[in-house]
Amino acid sequence: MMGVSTIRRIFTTELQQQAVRKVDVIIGFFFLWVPILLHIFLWQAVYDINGNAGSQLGYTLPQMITYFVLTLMCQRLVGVQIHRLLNHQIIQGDLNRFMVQPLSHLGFHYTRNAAEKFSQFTYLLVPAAVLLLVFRENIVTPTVVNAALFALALLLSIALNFLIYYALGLLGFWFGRANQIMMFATALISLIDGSRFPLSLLPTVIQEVSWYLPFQYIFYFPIRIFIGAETPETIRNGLLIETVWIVIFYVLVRIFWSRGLKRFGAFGG
Amino acid sequence: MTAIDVRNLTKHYKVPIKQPGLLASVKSLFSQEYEEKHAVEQMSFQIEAGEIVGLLGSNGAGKTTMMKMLSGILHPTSGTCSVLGYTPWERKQEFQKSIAMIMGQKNSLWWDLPAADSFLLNKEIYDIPDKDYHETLNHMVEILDVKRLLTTPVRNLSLGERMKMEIIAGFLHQPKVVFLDEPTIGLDLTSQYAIRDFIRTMNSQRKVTIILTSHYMADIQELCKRVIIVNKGTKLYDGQLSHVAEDFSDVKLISIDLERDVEDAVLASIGEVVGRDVLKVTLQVPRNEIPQAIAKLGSLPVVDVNISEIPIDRVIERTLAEGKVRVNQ
Ligand SMILES: Nc1ncnc2c1ncn2[C@@H]1O[C@H](COP(=O)(O)OP(=O)(O)OP(=O)(O)O)[C@@H](O)[C@H]1O
Ligand SMILES: [Mg+2]
Repeated sequence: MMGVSTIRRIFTTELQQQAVRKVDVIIGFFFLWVPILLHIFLWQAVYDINGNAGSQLGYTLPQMITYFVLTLMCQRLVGVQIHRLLNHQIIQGDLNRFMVQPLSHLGFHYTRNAAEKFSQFTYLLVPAAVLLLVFRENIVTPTVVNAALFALALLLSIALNFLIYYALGLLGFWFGRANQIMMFATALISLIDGSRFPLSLLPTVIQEVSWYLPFQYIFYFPIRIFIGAETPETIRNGLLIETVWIVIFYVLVRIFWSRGLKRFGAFGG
Repeated sequence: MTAIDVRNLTKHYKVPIKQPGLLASVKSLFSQEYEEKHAVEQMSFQIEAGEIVGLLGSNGAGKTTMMKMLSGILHPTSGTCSVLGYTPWERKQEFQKSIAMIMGQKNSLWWDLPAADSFLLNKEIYDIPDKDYHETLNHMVEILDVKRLLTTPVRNLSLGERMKMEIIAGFLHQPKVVFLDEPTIGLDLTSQYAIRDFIRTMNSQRKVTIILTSHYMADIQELCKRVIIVNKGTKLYDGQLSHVAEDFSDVKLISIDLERDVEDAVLASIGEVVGRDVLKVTLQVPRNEIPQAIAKLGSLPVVDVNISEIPIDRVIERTLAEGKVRVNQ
């Protein structure tokens, strides 16, 4: 286990590293306005043409617009590239450092990710607040409780998402350069994590199954909390299942890591 | 006191034979064929605390593999090894805190930030007390003369400057044993000099035990009394450098490109011809005869001249050929 002072040092150092790219990130947020406007016009047109769209799709117009606006923002707050990095490190033998130093690879990168997401959040705060104000007619204003539960669910989803992609990256120990497998897996996950469209548009069977899979908790679940589409009961159950998945993936990752490292040690660095 | 004790250490890499493509990858999960690559064979040696030992060998001889086993990165196929009383590949924290591995071709520093930030992280990782940290850092920064570079982002440093920072990062926690794998690779003479000087200082002042690999004869000659020569994974020689390299310190190689063919006898009058590929000729000349040799070259149709140190490979070849070695002692 890493000491608190090590964690703090990694966190603050990563914040500084992120600050180097601050301008890039903020300009990136600026461009979010384009897809957001697009979604507003698109869904307004859909709901205008089909007066009944609301009941058919299961969401009111503001809910639908908010859903897509939030997927764009949440992807910045949750999305990771750790699988690519890890795979690269395994192939290049760049794990040496973590075997020679008393430093946990998972702990190091998890802390860096937390710092990265924290700085993204601070950069996103102002543009997001402005957006909410400007488009307050078109999007859902959540209740305080829902906003707080959304924040909690999102924190959990940052952890879960990181662990899922970390596990994916660890496959490199067995597959070597696993670009195709990873691309296939990420494409598959993106279909059922709610980042492309609300899962409620899929057949009921898939929705039911998805409730017990980890993936919908990455985007779909938190966003539904925000737009008020979940009940207190489903929120409680969802948060519980999500937590269980975090524990499962944590254990899985630990096992993969120590097995993988043994293999790495036997096959070569 | 023996710091490193290696007995019959052997490493055979298992290299998966695999076809490209997703389907083949999935298949390989269930049945996988391997090829064995013999990198280190039955190596044994002991190193006393405070020694600097040079590990010599041509490309692919197994030097890096050896260092990786000694630092705990790789499991050996067989054999035992004790470093400061620890088995390296168990990777105990106390072991990790008393060694360092520095590789000339790898970067371990925070890329966009000044090296000082990476040092601060190492301070936490290794639990270095404030006082020790500042003392050690200041001392090393002074020897390597990099004080003004501490605030420059690593990505803006030259190769030599970055390597100096890597070395500082490696020595910051005052390791007792340090593995240096080609620390001077690709560096200019001034940087090589500075790093050599640093290594010597650390060894004499702090009694750090060091194993060093390098393809530059000068590094080895300046730093190592003792060398271990490996060839194809086996130990060929273990002993004093002076026994193998005495005749090499005073000679240089002159490589010339000729415009047209010249008689062998003419070339031989300038120096010993050690390599000839039609118009490319390599001559071996004693250091003090270099000026005369250059003068003589003036009368030949020479298009290009290059003077260099004798490469280590040639030292090894010659050592082998002259039967100076005691195979496996
Ligand atoms: N991860 C690996 N998997 C399979 N074979 C490897 C691996 N790493 C090294 N080898 C092989 O083992 C042998 C020894 O390699 P090693 O890197 O130890 O040599 P070296 O003495 O450090 O060479 P160099 O001077 O080029 O750095 C080589 O034949 C190399 O191809
Ligand atoms: Mg090597």
